[in-house]
Amino acid sequence: MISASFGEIAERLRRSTVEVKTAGEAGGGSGVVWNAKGMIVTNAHVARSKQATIGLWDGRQYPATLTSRDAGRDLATFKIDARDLAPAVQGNSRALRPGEIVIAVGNPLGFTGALTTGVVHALGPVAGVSRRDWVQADVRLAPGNSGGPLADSQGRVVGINTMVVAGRLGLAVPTHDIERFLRAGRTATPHRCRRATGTLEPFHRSVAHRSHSGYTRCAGLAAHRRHSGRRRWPPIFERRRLERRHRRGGRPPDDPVRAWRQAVCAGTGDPARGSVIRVQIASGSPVIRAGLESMLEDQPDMEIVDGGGEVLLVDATEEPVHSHAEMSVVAMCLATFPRPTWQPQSMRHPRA
Amino acid sequence: MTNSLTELSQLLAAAVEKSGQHVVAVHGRPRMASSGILWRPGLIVAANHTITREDEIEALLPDGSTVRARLKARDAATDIALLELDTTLAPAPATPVTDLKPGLLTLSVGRSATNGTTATMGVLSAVGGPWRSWLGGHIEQFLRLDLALYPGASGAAFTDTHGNILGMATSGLSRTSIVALPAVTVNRVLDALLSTGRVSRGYLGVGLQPVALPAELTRKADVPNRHGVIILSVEPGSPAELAPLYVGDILLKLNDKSVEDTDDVLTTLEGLAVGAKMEAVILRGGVRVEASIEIGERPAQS
Repeated sequence: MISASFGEIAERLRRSTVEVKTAGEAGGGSGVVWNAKGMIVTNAHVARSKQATIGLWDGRQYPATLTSRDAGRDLATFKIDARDLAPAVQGNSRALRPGEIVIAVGNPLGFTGALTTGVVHALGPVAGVSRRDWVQADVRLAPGNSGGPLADSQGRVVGINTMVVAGRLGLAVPTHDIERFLRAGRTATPHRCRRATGTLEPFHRSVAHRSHSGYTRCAGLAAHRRHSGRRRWPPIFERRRLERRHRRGGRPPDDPVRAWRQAVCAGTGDPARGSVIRVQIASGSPVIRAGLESMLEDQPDMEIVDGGGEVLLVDATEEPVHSHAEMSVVAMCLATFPRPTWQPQSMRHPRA
Repeated sequence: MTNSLTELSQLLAAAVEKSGQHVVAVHGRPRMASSGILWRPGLIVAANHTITREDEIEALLPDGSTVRARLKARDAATDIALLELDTTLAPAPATPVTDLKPGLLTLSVGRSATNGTTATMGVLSAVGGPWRSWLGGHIEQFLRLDLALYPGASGAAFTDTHGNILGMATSGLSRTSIVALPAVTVNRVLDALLSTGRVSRGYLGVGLQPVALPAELTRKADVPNRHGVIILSVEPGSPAELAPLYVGDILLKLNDKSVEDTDDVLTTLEGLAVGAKMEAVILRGGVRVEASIEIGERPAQS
């Protein structure tokens, strides 16, 4: 590679980008051909099932098997049995500087191989999202870009596009985290867990915080337990009790995960310490998911598994959403998205 | 290993690095820091709307050190807060304002409390003449930026692709877009804040509303106006009360200039110093009256 035009760089990147479609899902995400042996890297929230169909740039379709998945870092790999692949060139995400040009390719909103460019905004954690490293890029991403490549000005992949925060700031998992994930290769076999049935509902309310002046508007998830058998306080009441205790001068519910864990324990029976709490959330609720992920990232014994609507074991969390426009960082995962329904229709006259 | 895109990429990154040497992160409100520019030795210019505390303000310098900053003065009308701190770091060099044109590739360079320098890119989407902010501040040049200011980036430096700092970007002056304060405005406000601690603005102390006038009235008053502005309220102790002006008076002319809208009154006030006399032509009870008003100083707004 001595000299390449923008068009050539874009085309090469486009050939390393695939479409990931999982069974039973209307839309799809994106992925990157990581090596010539058929390893596809994508987001865990795109890899919703163990089987997927990978669509290459030239139209070829391959069945794929999930080989590893890490919901915490939101990464997954698939394996396809294909030849003549165009693997992506890997770049160094640690060498990026703010202001450098980046290119994102993916299949947003059902468009295939769409390209967008921008600059690196910053590198590092994002307040309100998670304490993990991100390549923060000022590029326009949309649902369906998830799992697709973010590349530097030479077309070398520096991250996997994962979510959008603050309206339009794109977050990508940096390549150095991808390499760590590929070395560890954590597979997602759901652990055994206790089960209870319930639902998660978003809620908005004002909560007085002692440590800050005035009121903060909080949004979060209220957990309702469907009562069966022995009656216990449903978690929502438990949480209210904690808040009430806090207002009277008790320990503040400053650690929402801990508070929620207590709430869940109160509502569902006490899972043994160290056991895996499996949080299964309804699909199609990316905000809930992102909120949960950010709260659970330091809880290695908790894992988020996408479900088809029913929640198995209820845990929930609370993430403050600041009312001031400048401070609101509301995460939206770039999860799969149904294909647009406004595709051109034939203008045939109806039969008389 | 170079191509034109990489060259541009390196140019932009170098510009961010260069201007980032003069950009600090300011902890002046709960939770989220904002950005500020080291404009003169030991003086930081930040976006006023991001500084909600009067004391215990801290600044994170480009070299990674955190120092205590003191709020020296602020001017809400132009969204400028002036902070003072002890540092030997070089301030942003004064860049002569070249003729800015729409379409100029620009960068906003801020500093985050955790991630170091932050940047976004866009174009200068509109360049206009002098305008007045929604809080009444006079700004020498209207500069609208087509770029994103992410949370914490208000007060960021607005630079060209060579890293020359051309002004301060803020989201506090427009609800719909990002506006940059040109360096000339920052300098003028800074000088005023340093010499008197405030930016003084002319003040009458009246509430106004434009009204259409019947032709017969204007003929009788001998003015060419089709509209005037009616006084709806008079502040106690204000220049208007001392003149005196009364509720129901209709302003027709100020200093021989026709007044057809409230904007005309503000424009006339802008060009006059506090303490100057202003001659007014008024319609009071259908009769033309002339009055002389001594312009006062607008009380501080926070």
